[in-house]
Amino acid sequence: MTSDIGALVERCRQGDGLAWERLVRRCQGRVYALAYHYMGGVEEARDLTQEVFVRVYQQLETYHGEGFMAWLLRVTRNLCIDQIRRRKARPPAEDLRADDHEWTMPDTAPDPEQSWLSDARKRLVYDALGKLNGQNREMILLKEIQGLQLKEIAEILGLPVDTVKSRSNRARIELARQVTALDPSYGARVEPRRMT
Amino acid sequence: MKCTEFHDRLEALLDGTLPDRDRERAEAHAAACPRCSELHTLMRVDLADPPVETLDDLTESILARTSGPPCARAEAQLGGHVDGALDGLDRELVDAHLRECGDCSTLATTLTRLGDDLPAFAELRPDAALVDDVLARTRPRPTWWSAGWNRIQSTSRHLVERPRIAWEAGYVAAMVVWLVFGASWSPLRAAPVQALAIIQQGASDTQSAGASAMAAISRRVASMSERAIGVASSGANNLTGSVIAGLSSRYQRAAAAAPDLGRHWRQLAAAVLDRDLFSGVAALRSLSRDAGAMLNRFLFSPATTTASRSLSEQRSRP
Repeated sequence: MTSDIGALVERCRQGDGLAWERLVRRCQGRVYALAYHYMGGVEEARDLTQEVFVRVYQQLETYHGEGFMAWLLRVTRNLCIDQIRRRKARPPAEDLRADDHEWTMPDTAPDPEQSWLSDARKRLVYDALGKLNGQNREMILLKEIQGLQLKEIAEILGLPVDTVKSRSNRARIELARQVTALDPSYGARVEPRRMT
Repeated sequence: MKCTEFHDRLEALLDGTLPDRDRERAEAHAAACPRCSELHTLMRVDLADPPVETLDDLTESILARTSGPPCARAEAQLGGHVDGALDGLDRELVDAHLRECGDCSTLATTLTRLGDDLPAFAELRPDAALVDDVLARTRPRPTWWSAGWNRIQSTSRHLVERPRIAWEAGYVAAMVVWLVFGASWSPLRAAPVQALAIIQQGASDTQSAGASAMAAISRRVASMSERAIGVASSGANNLTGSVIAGLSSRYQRAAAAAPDLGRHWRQLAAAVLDRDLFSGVAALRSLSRDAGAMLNRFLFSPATTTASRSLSEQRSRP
């Protein structure tokens, strides 16, 4: 279950169909989620996820870099941007819909009330994400949600690392302000972390 | 003691660290000098019990007149602080600011909470068919030509799935029909007219062939009747005999009206075997003419009319 992605990629490059299926099943959730964040629609995200994996499959021979997940997300992001430019429509995910999906966050809440609170909190954060501008939203998507490193984001966006770092911090502050504006008690529900 | 000496010893006097001899001299000077006595009183009250509100306001006032509010600087460090990326003096300074600033403290708490919540959005569960679709499009590994073929198929599928494909197909079909049969330079321009004529001829010939078949059946029936009558009723009366003889003679005359009937049948058979449509149609036309002539001769010849009249006259006799 915890097979290394690098080993899977190497087997895929050797033409191992089972390794490719495992890789698809393992990575499809993140690709699909990122595509959904950018495109804002289920069908578009699904079609684009297929295109991403087809593109990746065709380019496996030429892939020699490190960090497969970062490369995969970069391909996803680039295809999303191409698609958005092609249809000359809205910036990424202006119409985010939190109700379309069941998020894969494990629900360890012991009772239904806490489970509901968890869903409400997710909806609150999602609504706040929708209020960010495109640049801040993209930084949150890549850095905080997908967990990419600053260097990887800098390569994806073609920006200096310091610029990415400052943009990321600004985006987080802006998101925190939006969340607090929507629900001032968001940060007060838990004990503040000790700063010392 | 002079005033300057009193000022130099005032802080030690307030702290209680002044030697007894100097303290007695300072107190004696304060009792004699109103200005030094007032200063001593002010210093003793303010330093002993300063109001906290005054200190907070004082800090904000000083910062406002010097470096400005520190929150902007704190916000720039909050991300690293929440991530634990700050160390040393930077972390200590941010911690100190968070203890004093309620807004920044709330912001830091919100950031901490977001750091726990946001990774939950990293994955979505697509429908189960997505993997099958991906695998169907990626296995077996495509060669350059199969990849191109897949792209052609994908493009074609997208084209066909568009709603206006029916209009486009109709337009293209109309253009093709016009180019093939309607253009002035097309070699097939006369084909529709010819095809229509062939169809009409075919229908006419079929009708004629039907009439010919009926005539043949009639001849056959007449022949059988003649033989039956001849065998079973050798003593038939003259009238019946004359009728039979008349029918026979009319059949012979009808057959004489189409001397090429046999040759036309052979032509039709040869055309069918050779699958020659035009020859077959021509043979059918000839056969239809033969059949028409025979039927006309058989039914409407004068001999037949006379025989019928004599037959009716004989029947009317008692």
